[in-house]
Amino acid sequence: MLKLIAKRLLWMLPIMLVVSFSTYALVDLSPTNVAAVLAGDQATPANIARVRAELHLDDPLPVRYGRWLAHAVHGDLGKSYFTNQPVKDAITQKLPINLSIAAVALAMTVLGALFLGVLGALWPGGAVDRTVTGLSSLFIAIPGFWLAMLLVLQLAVYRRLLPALGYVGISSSPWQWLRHLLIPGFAISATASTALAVQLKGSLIDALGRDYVLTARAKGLATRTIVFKHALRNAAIPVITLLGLRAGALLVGSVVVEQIFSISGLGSMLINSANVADINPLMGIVLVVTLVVTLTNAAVDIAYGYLNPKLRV
Amino acid sequence: MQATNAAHPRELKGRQMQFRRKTSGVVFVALLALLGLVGTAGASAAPKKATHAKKKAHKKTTKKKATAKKTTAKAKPVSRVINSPTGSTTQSGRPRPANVDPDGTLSVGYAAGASTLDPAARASTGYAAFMYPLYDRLTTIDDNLNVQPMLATGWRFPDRSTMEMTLRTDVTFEDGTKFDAAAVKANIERSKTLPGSGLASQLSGISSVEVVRPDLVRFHLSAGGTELPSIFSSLAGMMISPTVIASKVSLDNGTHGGGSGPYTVASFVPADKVTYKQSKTVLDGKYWDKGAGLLKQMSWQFVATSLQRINAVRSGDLDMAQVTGTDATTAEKYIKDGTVQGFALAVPLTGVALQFRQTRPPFDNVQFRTAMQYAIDKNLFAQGAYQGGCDPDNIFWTPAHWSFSKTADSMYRFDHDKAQQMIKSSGIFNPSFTLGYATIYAPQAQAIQGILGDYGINVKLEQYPSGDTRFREGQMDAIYSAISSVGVDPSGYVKNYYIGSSGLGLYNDADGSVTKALAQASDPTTSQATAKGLYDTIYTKLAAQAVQVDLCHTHQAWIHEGKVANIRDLGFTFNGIPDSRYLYVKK
Repeated sequence: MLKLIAKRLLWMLPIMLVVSFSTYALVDLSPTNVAAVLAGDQATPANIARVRAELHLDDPLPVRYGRWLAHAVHGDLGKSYFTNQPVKDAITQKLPINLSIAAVALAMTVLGALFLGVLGALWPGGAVDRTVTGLSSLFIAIPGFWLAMLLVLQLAVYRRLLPALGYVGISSSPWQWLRHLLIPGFAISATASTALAVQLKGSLIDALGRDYVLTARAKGLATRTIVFKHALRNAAIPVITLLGLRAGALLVGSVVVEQIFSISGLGSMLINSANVADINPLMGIVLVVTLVVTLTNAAVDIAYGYLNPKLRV
Repeated sequence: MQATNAAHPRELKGRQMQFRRKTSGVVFVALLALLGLVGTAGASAAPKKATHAKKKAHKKTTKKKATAKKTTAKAKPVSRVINSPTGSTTQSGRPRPANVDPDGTLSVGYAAGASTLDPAARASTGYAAFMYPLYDRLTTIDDNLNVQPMLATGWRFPDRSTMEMTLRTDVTFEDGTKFDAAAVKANIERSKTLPGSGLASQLSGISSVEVVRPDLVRFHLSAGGTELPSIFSSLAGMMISPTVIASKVSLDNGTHGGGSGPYTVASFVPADKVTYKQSKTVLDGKYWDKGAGLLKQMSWQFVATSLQRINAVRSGDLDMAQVTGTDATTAEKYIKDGTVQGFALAVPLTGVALQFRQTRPPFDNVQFRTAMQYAIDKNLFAQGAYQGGCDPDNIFWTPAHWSFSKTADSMYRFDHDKAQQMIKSSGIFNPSFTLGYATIYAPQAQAIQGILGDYGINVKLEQYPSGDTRFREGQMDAIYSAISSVGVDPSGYVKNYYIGSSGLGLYNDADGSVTKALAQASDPTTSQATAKGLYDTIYTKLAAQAVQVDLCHTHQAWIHEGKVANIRDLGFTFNGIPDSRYLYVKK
């Protein structure tokens, strides 16, 4: 098991290197002239050239990337050209916001999938099963941003039940924190939750037909024990695979939701930085997102090993 | 201005007559000044025009101005009154309204976020809205596009290379430092020399600053000068405590206490939100402008789209919001039917236009460029692409501005047949070009593509990110873009778009005549009447090269749910970058 963990973690290094260099090179290809933006609305070519020189933008790409990497491995992600704020501070300030959105969305995804999946599996072909399948098709078809806007109109603008935008930190008010995240969380989790429910329902129906379940029933175990203690554990492997893939999407999905709900998280920072080719914050966020996604994937692989010892190779 | 909440989408048009009357007054005062009958610069004329009531309310201020008058009386008579103060109700130094809720708070949704609260460092003009509450400026601009005093009490140009400015003597920065001429000198020098300063270009015409007396500062000019009173109304005129400047602390987050404005920063999240609290001077009752800083707390938050801002006001998440683009029409509708309160207007200093690079085919053909001037039915375009939320125009400056040129304005009108004929006679077979546009203008760029497609022109659309300098560097055929002016002096606009190295350089001034005329018009010793004639010539020449098709002036709305008082006194709505210092909540 330790070997598996070490192997997975080691694989993260080349992935991070490839992703960081590709991103750096792509930003370099962008037509945005960061020096012109920084020099102001009425800058002369001489002013722009001066700013370029100050930022070392005339150095070759490998030199600039090498400089960034050397600083990054020492934990220094640089400063934003525009806000002058250290990238590490900005990420520290904004990451909790995205983690909050992702956590609420993940909780809604898992709880929704469990609830609908288990109900569908217990009464296959019944009304609940058909509802789950129908909802799944509906939410896969509806884009998350459209659903979010619809919910804002119905729940915030017309009925004033929940806020239309913004974010409140959990330390300021846990209740307001939750209120502000309910619509964004639901908008992100709707598709994932119903898709997972369908997957879980299939796996669970398969598991519930196995001999060990028949034995458990013959022993007189309660349905709750059979489902949650025995069948669900075996049915979980394909669901965890899907959840692992979705976990990354939840973080990326929160980027879109941030725009809709005017939440100033990593997504807004990423878009702002990309718009003006502010390379340091952009690289910082890419690094964090890559780290989260690769760590999630590693965790999924490790979970496979935990659930199925045959996979510990 | 009256503090009413009635919808008034065309209010600036309605003010034209009023403006003309005021302009006549200014010209008359200028003539008196030239004759030596008025001994001092523009500001001294203001108290004479004030009503009796205002005189009473501003007794103290007037007394100070009179002192300033005495101190400058020995200098030569003013050569030219440039946008001199007119005694408008939007001028600074007002009495405190009677019905202020002292615990009033306000949250405002805005179309942009500030990356920094340092006026000089990397600052874009759009950031000014976030800095107006923190920093007083030397001047301000009223809704009639006249420059008015703020920290300055008056200004004059004794000769073409000197501008003198008299200053208020009752202003203190948040850190306790007194505002005086030395503070002005420290600020101008900082803005000119700070590495990466976004203001260095705007202030390049100032060669040095001299402290004559604590209340009198002298600017030595190497070029131009007429634009200075105007640009001192925004970022370039924001004053920071010289003590804070000398300490070299970062001014990015605004928590340095170096402003003299009615508010200070409570918290700042770059590119997202600024929360303000009342400044120490306001809380101590010592702030020089009693009508400002009346909110206990105020926050300005970046909300990406106008629709989100409308929804947030309707849901009660925001108290007030700015609405721009095509959504301004929706906001106007909501104001009319009473869903929200507020006002809307066509923004006189923000338009949209097509700009052509005449070094690139097919725009190297003047016949083809001229055809473009006739090809677009601007009324139809404004209706279709902006749902009517854009007033069609032919030149950038509206009739409300003193430099408006009837000649240039009447040069081109939509004429489908003429456009078709000119395209044919240009000799260009199957014309085709690339039109760049920013993301927010995608529908409008597509509309242009459709309109010109009817003439057989193949318009290839290319979306570009902000900071894309390809058009500026001559590597793109044409762009659909917003056009604006930093101040109300037209020289900056001409330099920014048409001639010189600091702008787009659309115009080919081969014989140097426009550059020469602009230098003469920017010369403070040139009378405003002569300058108007010169701008008439300049605008006509620019229009003759047909490198820009002015399309329309966009609408903007300010909406709220009834909590906000004084919203019509929201300054600087003429360029969409407002000064919120006079907003308050009623008891």
